[in-house]
Amino acid sequence: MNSRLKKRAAGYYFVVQIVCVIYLANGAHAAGDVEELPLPAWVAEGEGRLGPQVELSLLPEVTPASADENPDNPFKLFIPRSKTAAPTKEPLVTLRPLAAEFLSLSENADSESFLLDPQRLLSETQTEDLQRLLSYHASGSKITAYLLLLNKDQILPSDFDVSKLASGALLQKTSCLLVYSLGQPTRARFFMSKEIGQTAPAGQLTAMAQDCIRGALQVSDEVEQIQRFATQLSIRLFWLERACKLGDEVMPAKLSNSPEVSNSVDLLPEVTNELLKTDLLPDYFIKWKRIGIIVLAVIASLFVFFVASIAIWRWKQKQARRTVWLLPEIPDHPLRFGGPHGGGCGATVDFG
Amino acid sequence: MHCPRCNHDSSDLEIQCSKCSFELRQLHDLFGRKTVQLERVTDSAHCLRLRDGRDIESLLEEFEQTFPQVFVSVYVGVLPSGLKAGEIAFWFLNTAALSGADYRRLNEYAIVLVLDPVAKSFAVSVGYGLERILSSDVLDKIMQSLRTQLWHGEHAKAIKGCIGQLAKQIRKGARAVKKEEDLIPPQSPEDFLDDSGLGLLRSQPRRSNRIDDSLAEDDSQNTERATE
Repeated sequence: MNSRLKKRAAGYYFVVQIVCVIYLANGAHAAGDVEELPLPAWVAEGEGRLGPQVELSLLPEVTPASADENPDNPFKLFIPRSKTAAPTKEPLVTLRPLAAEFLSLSENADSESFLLDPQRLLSETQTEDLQRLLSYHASGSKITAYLLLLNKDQILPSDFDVSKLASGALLQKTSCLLVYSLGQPTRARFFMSKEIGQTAPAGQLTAMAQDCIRGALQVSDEVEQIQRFATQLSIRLFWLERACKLGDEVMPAKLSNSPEVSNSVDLLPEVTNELLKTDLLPDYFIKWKRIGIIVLAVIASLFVFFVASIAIWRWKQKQARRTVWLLPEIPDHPLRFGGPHGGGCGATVDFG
Repeated sequence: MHCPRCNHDSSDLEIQCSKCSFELRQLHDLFGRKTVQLERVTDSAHCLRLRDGRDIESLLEEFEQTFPQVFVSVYVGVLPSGLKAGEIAFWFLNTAALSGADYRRLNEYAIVLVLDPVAKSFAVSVGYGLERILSSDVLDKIMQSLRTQLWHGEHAKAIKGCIGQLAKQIRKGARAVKKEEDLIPPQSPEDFLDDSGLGLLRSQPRRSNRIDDSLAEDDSQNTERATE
């Protein structure tokens, strides 16, 4: 009975509390209606601004630019200086296809010009450096590397036939075409001769692309990026050549002459991999990944060692339970100190 | 060999210590010649906790299963003044009988540990059968290794450690044999009852006694009638 009364009283108390809260809320609202301050009036000149035009004569006007630049700004004293530069948001770029005139320039380029830069994006010295690197690579490797350079906001038209580049030199020999957007190594596209795709070990092409992109991302300078990219590409193409065991007898020229091959996509398939972008992780992540693998391996080996030790220990215990130890027969012995069973063989330790 | 009393080095052929003339007869004069019964663990000084005592007992039982010829007895007690732990161990070894030990276990394969917590002395004495394996030098090393534990008052730990080390040393000199479970089933119900240890509360049930008595009376009456 008492518990029922208590419950009822608690229920009443709860209802009273809710009523009080609602009343107070309504009362405050009503009071606000009465004593509300007048809102500032909007003027015609302030249409483009975010708020009402309120002139604050006592405080200086603070804008994002002036707050950082003005040394006398009192608010700046309370704002901790950031050690790193504020991140700047790069505007989104709308990609546009490479203009037809530049495409035709690239198509008509000499077969020995391994760097195709129809827009002259690089300076003369940089162009020469890259051209020298690619020429040197072509002289030593069976896979010739061609590099088509685009600007940041450019892409290759989807209907463009890459086999026509460099006067069709890509089909004359085993080659690799790299379509590279300046400053954006992650957008690089690889086109490889068909026989490389057929003979390359699984994952080799993807690994090559990843290495090139990772090498380029280690620096921020655009020209340095492309240099690193090309260097890494050259190295990896040498590796690929060895892995594919390309000989002189394999010549794509035969493929180009064969009547059944009509589509350039078949001859120069693009290296694509969905995992390529996801695997492009930052260096610190790769480093920690390796450390994690090592730690996991150590933990796993310790666990195996622990389990093996327990198993060996239990096996030994089992064996010990099944084993008894027998002593040799009692030898003939003289009685020492008159003892029939023991003759004073013992030891004493005093620990006081 | 060392003299249990003065720790003097004695040759194998001496009947008594050349230095202090110690021999077993002197102890017999003190305690008598009667054989005494010794438990696996005797704690007359009450310095072992109940759990420790049980642990030592179970350890000794396991020890005896591993070494079927050997038995160990531990005595913890305050000794009379003038007697050393080594002497008492020697006396126990030669005059005591371990209670419950089967006939296979001879005192020649016995190990006696004596701990005197007041005199702060710990002694071990082994029979003739163990002298080859547990020589005085080996025993000395074992005892010296227990000194710190004993000094800290960890008597149970020291005793357990001592038993463990003794077992380790005996394994080195003993021959491992696969344990044989020679359990023979009883041939008859009488054998089963004899071996089971089950004792009858009465020699015969009371009711059957009555019946037997009445039958006997009937028989006697019948025989009397027949004679008449």
